[in-house]
Amino acid sequence: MASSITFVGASGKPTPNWPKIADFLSAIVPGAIRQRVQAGLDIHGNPLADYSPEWKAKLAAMGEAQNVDLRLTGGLMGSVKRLQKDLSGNVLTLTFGSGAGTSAEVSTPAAKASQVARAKGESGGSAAYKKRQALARASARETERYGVSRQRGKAVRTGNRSPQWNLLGRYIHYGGNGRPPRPWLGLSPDQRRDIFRQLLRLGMFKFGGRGTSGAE
Amino acid sequence: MANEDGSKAADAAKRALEQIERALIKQITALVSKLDTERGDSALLSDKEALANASKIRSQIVRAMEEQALASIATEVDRAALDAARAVADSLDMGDFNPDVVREIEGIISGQMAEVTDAFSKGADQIAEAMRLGVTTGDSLDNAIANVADAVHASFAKAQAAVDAAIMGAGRKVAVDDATAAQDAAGEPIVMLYVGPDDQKTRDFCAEYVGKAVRLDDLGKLDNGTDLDAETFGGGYNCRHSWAAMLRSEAEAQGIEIVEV
Repeated sequence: MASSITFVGASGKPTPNWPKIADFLSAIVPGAIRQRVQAGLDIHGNPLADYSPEWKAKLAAMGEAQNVDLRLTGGLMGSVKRLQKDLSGNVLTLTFGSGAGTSAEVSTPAAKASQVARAKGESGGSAAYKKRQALARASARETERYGVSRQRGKAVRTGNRSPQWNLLGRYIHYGGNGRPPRPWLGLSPDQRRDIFRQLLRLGMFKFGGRGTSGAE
Repeated sequence: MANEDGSKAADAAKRALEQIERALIKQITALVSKLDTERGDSALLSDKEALANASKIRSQIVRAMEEQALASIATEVDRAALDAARAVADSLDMGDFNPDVVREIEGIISGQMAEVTDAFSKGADQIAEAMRLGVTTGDSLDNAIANVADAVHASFAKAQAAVDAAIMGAGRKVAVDDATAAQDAAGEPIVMLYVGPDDQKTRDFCAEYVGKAVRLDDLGKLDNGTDLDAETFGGGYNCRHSWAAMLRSEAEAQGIEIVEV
């Protein structure tokens, strides 16, 4: 899962500013993506598709906000960075994406549900507590499938794990299996204009040029 | 000769474990005896968890002793500890604790946590490097978690929290390093917007800064109240927040508050 930004030098040869432009965008583009996703907007500037009622209920049980921000552990968003820098002739291409890292076990509703129950001071017999525990048990089964189980306090490898963030990011971006696409990696048209305006204002396009961007 | 040396080492380890365990049990027992059973102060919920954690640490030590075939000693200390644990469990249903007791409990735990932090730091360096290269895989993380858990006899969950924090820390570290290079390239100051959720799980530190920006040069001054630095680890273990770099002039144009640290 990657998104690229390409610049073509107008003079027909590499601009001496390419390294500076690359350095600047390497920080600014991931920041812009995080900021836009946090605002719940996709790469077209439209609202990201809402979460399902079931997932919202789970988030609520975990004590988490239900707005669409594509965060559970924060790992996916936190790992967005420049993956590649290619300068070929007078063409500079920067590729952005999420890291390959993954948690062996997604941050489980099991532990979170217990934390919430304790924080709320719910007693063991209450309906809310039982509901949280049911969610926790269901989540533990999921964890067992994708993560690592525990035996006498030691990790036991099951051979399964949660999807790597770049795969997770791809699933989210394109949807599938009944899940709606939530195109998130890349810049919206407004963001592209904003960033090019910043580059111009900073005097980085001394020699002219043009830029394009797109996902994969 | 080698066997004799091994025997001496085992004896020394046994004595050390005994001392640690007995001191721990003694402190827990003493603290439990001082529990304040007054009701009504819900602000100490997290401290109840701290006491529960102390009990867990005790059980981890007992387990370590069992694994070293020190069963008789483990049984003895476990009996004493069980009494303490029972009192802890009872008290959890009865009310909140005296803050002075809580502070003492935290003192006990912090010693144990130092071990975890140390093991975690060593692992974090490796993970950070792997993240930079983009080669971290689920397998390598499984190993990292298992290694941390084994190294300190910590629970799987605690080890995983440490490893997850390391991965997230690596991501923040990349963002800060890239922002530093961007600031040099732009010749204008960069600020870091603190991005992430603001819900009932959000820590006080994160709630204070989320949606606001901090000058790049000020990140090192942030104090999240934990042993983990805020620049790299946000609010601490399991923090869901990240840094978003932007020009200071753009942040000001968007009306984003820039916090003076």
